Amino acid sequence: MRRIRLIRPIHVWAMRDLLRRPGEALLLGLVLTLIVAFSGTALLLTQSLSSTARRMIGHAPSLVIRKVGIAGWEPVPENPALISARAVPGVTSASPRIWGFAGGPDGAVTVVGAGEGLECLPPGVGIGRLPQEGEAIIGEGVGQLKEGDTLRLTGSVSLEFKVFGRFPEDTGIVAHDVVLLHKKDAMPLLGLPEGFASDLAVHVFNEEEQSAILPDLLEAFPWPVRITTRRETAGYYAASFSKRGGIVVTALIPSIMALALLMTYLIRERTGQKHEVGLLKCLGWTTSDIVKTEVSRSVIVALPAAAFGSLISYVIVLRPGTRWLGALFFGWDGLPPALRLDATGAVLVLIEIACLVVVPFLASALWPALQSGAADPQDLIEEME
Amino acid sequence: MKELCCKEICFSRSQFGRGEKAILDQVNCSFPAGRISLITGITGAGKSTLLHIVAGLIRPTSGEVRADGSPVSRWVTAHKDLWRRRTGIVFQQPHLIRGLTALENVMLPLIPRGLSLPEIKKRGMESLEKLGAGHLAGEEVKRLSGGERQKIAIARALAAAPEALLADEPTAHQDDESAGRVLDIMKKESEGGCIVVIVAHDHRILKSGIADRHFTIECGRVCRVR
Repeated sequence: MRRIRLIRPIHVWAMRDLLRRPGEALLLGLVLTLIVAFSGTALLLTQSLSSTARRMIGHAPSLVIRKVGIAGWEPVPENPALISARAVPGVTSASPRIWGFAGGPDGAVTVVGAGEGLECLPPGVGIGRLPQEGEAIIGEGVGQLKEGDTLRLTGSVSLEFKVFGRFPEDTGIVAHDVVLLHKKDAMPLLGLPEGFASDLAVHVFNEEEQSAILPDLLEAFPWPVRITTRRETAGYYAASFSKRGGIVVTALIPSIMALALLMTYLIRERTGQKHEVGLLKCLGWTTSDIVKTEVSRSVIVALPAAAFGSLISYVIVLRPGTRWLGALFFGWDGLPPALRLDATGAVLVLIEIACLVVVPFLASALWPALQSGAADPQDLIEEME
Repeated sequence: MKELCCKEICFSRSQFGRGEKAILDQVNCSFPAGRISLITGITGAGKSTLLHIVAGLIRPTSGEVRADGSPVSRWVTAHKDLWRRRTGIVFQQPHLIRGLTALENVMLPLIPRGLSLPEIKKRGMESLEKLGAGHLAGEEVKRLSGGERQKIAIARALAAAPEALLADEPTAHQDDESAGRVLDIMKKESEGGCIVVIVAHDHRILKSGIADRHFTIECGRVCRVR
């Protein structure tokens, strides 16, 4: 049986040809790596933020119902609201939520009151047990406090709590500034009277029927309400990411310019070496051999560069506990959250960006080779004389 | 290949707005296998141009080059590329690739021919040794003298065992001893059934009597002297 050789002399020649100018080859690889890394980081960031947001929204209730009064939001009376909501066909469950904002040691914090269950927090925010009265579980961004320290929060009243635990670092994207209190502590702090909640989380049987249920729900309550659907929340995130997408495009401009410059350089450089192509043709090389060499040369430089550039952008964006993203994109004042972004679709994005950079790079190497391949060898080597 | 034949070859070059200058005019000649053909003529007579046309490096303005009756000069690029593999050419200037060693330059014609790398290296080395230049194998070509470079260029032309060896001033930079060795090699190649065409000014070649056929070019026309 004939043995198939993966590495042929033409590939060895391509490598040897690169080594004739090792500094230039190295610099080319480095520039390409940086272009892939820079573009990859920008695009991967947008993609990861979007998929993380989608994941978060996936855990959110189908509908959130808030009572609207003359002065704005008003507390929702728990029992009448639950009865009204559960009476609407299509609603599978409804639960009151207690949350709001209060002043913490380093600025505003999100206070969440825990009832009997942990449904107030998104899944994945793992804590051992719920806080008892006088205890608090805090996110990483709520002051430099350790377990056992005292946390002072100021809302409708000013109260002190004993820090009993911290949310794990990997929950930063949802629990960074959250203070979880016992329901009985949270209510006076947020100025909620007994029997009232901040809003009502409603789950429906069929997500597609949200629009059909909305009029029934609006009518079911004896007071004016504002209902926010999961789709609206998703729309808000989409708009927010479109805005950031603009920033990303701006960030890509230098990469595109660098790539264009690199291509121009390559075309000029390879065109300048036409005499070598001519000489090889005189020595019996076919156009196909020359193209194969050019492809091999480019692949030897571009593949490691694309792989390494992709790895860099993957590590920058998706390394667990990345903090600079929060600071850059969400304008965190204090300690930014250590983000753990969703890697769904990251491989596809990296393959896309690698192709977007590598394909023009290959084309810029191939174009002069194809041009020279069609010319008479003597015309090409005359440049040398 | 039994014979290379030029039929009514004309070649002219444009002179940047000053019309066209005829270099070759109705050239008819043939170069049989197993014979050494020598082409002489004054500088600028068109000797090298004729050699390059025969080698398929440029297209004649009219007429054709035939190899065993096939009009190779009319072939499309893809076929002509493959046809060139059957020839070995020595240029007037060595045209070596800088940044490579002498051996690597000699190996160049063999690289795309499906041989293994050790085989390519072995053949390259054999070719260098034929020219007595084996000791230069690892030298970078930029460090070599003009004569040494020419030897490398000849070794390169011979490396792929061509059916037609086309040499332009192959002894120009050689001392008498080296020139004799080069001519001996040409003779051996010819005896082995190769078509050998030498273009030269060098009187040593003429005096050596190595050529079986002698052509001269004058005013773009080729005349057979012997």
